[in-house]
This record gives sequence, structure tokens and C-alpha cells, in this order.
Amino acid sequence: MTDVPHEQLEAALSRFLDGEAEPEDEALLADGLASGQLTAAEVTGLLAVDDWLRQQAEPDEESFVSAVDTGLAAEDDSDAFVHALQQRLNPSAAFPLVPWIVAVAATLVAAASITLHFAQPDAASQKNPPAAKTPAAAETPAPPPVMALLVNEAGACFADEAAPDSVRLTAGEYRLEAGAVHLRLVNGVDVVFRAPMRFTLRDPSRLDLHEGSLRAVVPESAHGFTVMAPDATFEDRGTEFGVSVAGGASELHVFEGRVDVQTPAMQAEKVSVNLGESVQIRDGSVMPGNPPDPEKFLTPDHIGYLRWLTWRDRLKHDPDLVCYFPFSRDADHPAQLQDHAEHGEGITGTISGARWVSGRWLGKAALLFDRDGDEVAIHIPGQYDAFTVATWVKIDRLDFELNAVLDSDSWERGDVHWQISRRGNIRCSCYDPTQASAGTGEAVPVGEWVHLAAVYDRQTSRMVSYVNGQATTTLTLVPDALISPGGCRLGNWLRRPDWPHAPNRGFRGRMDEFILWRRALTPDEISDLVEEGRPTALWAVDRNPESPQTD
Amino acid sequence: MNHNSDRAWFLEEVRQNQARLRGFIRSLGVRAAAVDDFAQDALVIAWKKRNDFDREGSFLHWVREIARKLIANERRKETRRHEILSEKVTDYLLQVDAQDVHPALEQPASDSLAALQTCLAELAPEHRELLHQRYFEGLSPGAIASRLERTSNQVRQALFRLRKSLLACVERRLNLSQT
Repeated sequence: MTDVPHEQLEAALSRFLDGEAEPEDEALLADGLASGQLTAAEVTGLLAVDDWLRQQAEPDEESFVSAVDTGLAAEDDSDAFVHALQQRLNPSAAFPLVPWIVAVAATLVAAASITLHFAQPDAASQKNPPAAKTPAAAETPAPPPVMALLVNEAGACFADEAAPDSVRLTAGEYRLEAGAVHLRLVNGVDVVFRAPMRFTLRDPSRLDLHEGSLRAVVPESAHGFTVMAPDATFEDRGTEFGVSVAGGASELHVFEGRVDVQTPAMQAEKVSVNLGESVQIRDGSVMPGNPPDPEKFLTPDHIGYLRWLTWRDRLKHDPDLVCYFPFSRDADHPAQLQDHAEHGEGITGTISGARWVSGRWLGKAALLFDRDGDEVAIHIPGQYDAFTVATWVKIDRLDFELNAVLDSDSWERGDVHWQISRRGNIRCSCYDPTQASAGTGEAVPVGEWVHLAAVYDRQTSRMVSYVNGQATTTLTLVPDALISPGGCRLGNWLRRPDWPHAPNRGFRGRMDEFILWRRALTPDEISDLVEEGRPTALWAVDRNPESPQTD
Repeated sequence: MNHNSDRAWFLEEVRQNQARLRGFIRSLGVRAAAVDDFAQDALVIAWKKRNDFDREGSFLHWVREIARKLIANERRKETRRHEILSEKVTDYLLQVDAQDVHPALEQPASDSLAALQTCLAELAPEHRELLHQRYFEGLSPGAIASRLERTSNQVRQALFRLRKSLLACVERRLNLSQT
């Protein structure tokens, strides 16, 4: 074996480190290693440097661990998921979807992206019909490979003859007639679109767009993902772009990275479109385009928000609501929380200190409580045999021994205190002269959106508190308990002048939505609240809840 | 041990060892973009086989062996293999003895990363800028070249030399004798 010039080896090694090596480079390197011109230590050392630099640039330990966690959950849950789907989905009316599917679908997507990533259908075998099967094989044909999963939707309605099989999409044509959809392809590409939309999924790296607009978010490992429009091909070279096709003419907007455009008239030539640029195809030519219409190119976040808006408008008709604060900022009354319950008590919240900030989704408001005096004062009139409260919070810190979510102004018969301890345990209680209100259960996570609910029921003499839809604590009500919250604070406890050293219980974080019913919601209904309001389709829920604990 | 505590133990091990596992996979010539996928795949397999693992032993060595087998297996498949690993180089590196790989791969990841940080701080500003564009902004050598009005080859050469000098610097800082 003759020695290769050192410069040539270094150039090959350099291209190899940058992921640009050609097969000849790799052959050269393999020869260099075999002949001793290069050592394994040198090559592995340089690969290690490359890896450290990448880790330095993107220190993503937690997101990696979280992705592994999702993979483990999917591994544990996949059988249960399929079984539950069969049980709960009506095959003749796949939509609207039962929203809980979203969470489990998300875990299945993660599993699919792990297990299918390296087993994608070979393009050649897709194009050529398979060889004749034996009679036995013909009787039990293998199911077509899943190309994508529907991870979220808002009012989605597909045409009967062009709809997914529940949440799974195989190769084929799809037509969305109403609503909006977020798909995840098995290679990790997210595709978001709203009706009207008609497309054909060829394989996980290619989608033919016939009519409509889509946004594609492409991870690094799936670069090369291609959208074929009737008049052009758009090949991803970056991370995020939108394509729109109307009347056979297409336009492209690059939100991040780069996209290569090719039309039949251009033959082998390509035009690169970069971050922030828009182009349109006219008569086979690539021309400058107009800025994107945000309504056309939804983000994954939009889907959750749209779904919640639909749910909000349904919920407000519930005859059992005492009050419903969706936390929609009223520009004319920014210091008030408006009650949207149609048949409620018409309660208005008075905001002091707390500021309007962004909530679970872009465009959705929440209140931020981060100073001692921040609170919302509400008055809940009447006495109740049963009572359910629910809210979404994102806790920044737990500064005090007890941190108020909803506290009656005093602590007397009928009063309700719903708080979180410094250790993160929920302490929901109705006034009890024995003061037995100890909180247990799993700690509430800090720094992420969490759904909290509490159910008080005199009939069963139980108070159950829920975190993210899971019952965490059950307490027994005193025999003659009265539920009559009266004057209350959201996010604080009234500092009473007759108790100057009363402890501070200020909540520190965001609150988005607060609902109160005059009945005990069932565990399934609590789960539905979580599903309808979850911040994103991929928002994590505890899949291995502990059994409810009883004090 | 119940399922929840199993899961907590496993995820803690993942947290402790993920950086070195990923470094190991990259050192087998797997393309950077596919490293995390292999690492996650190996860890899901490890999770399924967790009852076979002796918890007194090294989690890292165990999952590295799983990853090695996974990659060797992947190497034999036709589909997309060129996109995820370097066939001939990976073939060679898969059969290299542990003592022949770079000793930095056996060091705790936190030590290597700390040494790298010090070494980066010692670089000339224009060299740091070049690495910044390549790794932090994710630009290809070609894209950097057009920004700097240099040729792609010049940028590749400069990056190559920088990586070599960083490796030498980390070796010095970690007192690794390299033969």
C-alpha cells in the first residue's frame, strides 16, 4: 500500500469531521488507518473534540434525558396505547379526536422516531411493486408502514375517503376539510396546517402539496425533507419554512435556515432561499414574493390555542359553573377578571398588582404574581354541598411555608384554603377545627405549566386534590363541614390588620384560567380539563402516578 | 425495586453518563446529526434489558457495548447507512481495541469539557470566532467561507488545525500522554 500525501489525508479527515466526506474520502481514511498513516487515537481524539464543541454549543443534557424518558414511557405504554385506541375510538368517525390521545400519540411518535428512524422504507421498494406473495403471506399482508402521527388537532375534519386511520398516517392522499392539524413524521419533521388542505404523503422525507398552506419544522437529522408543489420542489436545508399552493401556483417563506427551490424549467439548477426571504413561482421562474400571512402558517402552539378557544366557548354554557375566568384581558377593564360563565354568579375579580403576561400559548394571557401585594380579590357567594376548583399555574418559586392559590380571606367555618407548601405539596382544606389539613402526595413541579384541581364533596365527606389530572391527596371533611368560601384571594391571603404578623403566602408565578363549579367533578372530567388545556401536544404528564394517598 | 424507582435510577445514570456515551458514539464515526438517535436507541434497549445489568458494574461500559452492537448491526443494513455513519471508517473503529482509542474518551466528560473551555479561552479571538460560526451558529465551512471571503478549503484547513490544537491543549490539561 503506497502512502497517501499527508495533506490529502488531512483534507479528507477535515471533510469527515464536518460531515462532508465523500465515499473516496472515507476510503482514503480507512486506508490511512489500516496502513498506520493515521492512528485510531488521532481520529477518535479529533472526533471527541468535535463532539465536545457541539456539546459546548448546545448543552442539552436535560432535553436529552427528557427525550430518553419519553422513549422509555413509549416503550412501556405502546401496547396500552393501541389497546386504548381500539377501545375508545369509533372507527367510522375518527374525528373529532378524543384529546387524551394526543399525549399518548406523542410518546408513540417518540418511539416511532427511535425505532423507525433507521428502518425507513427504501424509496426503490416503494416505487416497484413487491414480488408476488405466497398464498399464506397474501392472507395476512403486513400493515403499511406508519409515516406520521397526528399529535394535535383543533376541530379537525378529514374527508371520509382521505382521512388518517385514527392517529396514524400511512403513504397516501389526505384532505382536511375543517380545523387545523399538527402531524409529526417518523423522522421528527413537524408539519402544521389548517383546512382547506390536500396533500399526498409519499414517505417521511417527501410530501406532495396539492392545495393549501403548511409550515414544516425540520430537525437536523431530517434535512433534505422535500415538499413537492405542482410547479416546484422545495428541499429543506435548514430548519423551518412554509409552503402555500393555491390554484396550482406556489409560494415559499423561509422562517429559519435555508430551502433550495427547483422548478422543471430550471433543470438541474437550484435557487437557495434564506432566512426571512419569500419567493413565488410564476411560469416556472422563481420570483420575489410577499411576506407570509401568519394566518396561513400556523405553529404547533397555535393548534393548542385554537382547540382551547373552542373548548372555552363550550364550557361557558355549563349550568353548574359558579364562575369561569378564562383570563382573557379586557382592554377596557385591565384591572378586572371577567367572568364568562353564562349561568354563574356574575363574579368580577379585582386585580391588584398582578400583571398581564403571556400564558400557555402565544396570544393567550395569564397573570403574573411576583410581589407581596399581587392578588385578585373575588367574592364567592353562597353555601355549597359540592365544589370543584381548577386552574393552570406555572410556579416560579415557592417562597413561603404556604403559597396561596385560592384562599378565603379568613380561616373560619366554611372557609376554603387551597395552597402549596414550600416542599411543593398541595394543601387543600376546608376549615376544620382540628386543623388537620396536612398536604401529601407528589410535589408540584416548578417552572412548567401545571394543572391543579380540587374537589370538595360533602356527600362523600372527601376532598381530593389533583395535579395534572392525577389525584394526589384525599382528605376527609369534618362531619358538619360547611363550604362557603366568601371573600377570597387568588394568589394571596388577605393580610388582616388584626393579625400584623400573619405569614406572607404570596404565590410566585403565572396563573392562566380559573374555574369553579357547584358540583363534584369526576376523575374523568378532571382528566378532560387537563387534555383540553394542555399547553402543547407534547406537554408531559405523569404516566406512572402513585395511588391516591389518604390521610 | 419497583418500576418508578427503577426509572429514577435509570434516568440518573443517563444523566451522569450521556455525554460520554454520545462522545463514544461519535468516535465510531457516526455522523454528528445521528449521534443522539443512536444514544437514545441504545438507552431504550438498555432499559428493556435493565434486569440483566449488575448495578455494581459500570453503567457506561454496559451501554457503550450496547451502542457498539447497535452500530455494528446498523452498519450491516443497506438503508440510509451512508447518511448516518461512515461505512469504512466505522468498520475500522468498531474493531479497534479500547486502549487504542484516544485516552480523553475515558475521562469524565465534565473534566474534558472544563479543559476545553480553558483551551478555548486561550485561542486568538479570530480563531474563537471561526469555531463560533462553525459550532454555535451551525454554519458549514462553505457558508463561513463566503462570509469571510475565503475559500472553503482554507476554512476547512483552519478548522482542522484548530481542532488539532484544542486536542493537544486538552491532552496537556488532563495530563494525558499521547503516543
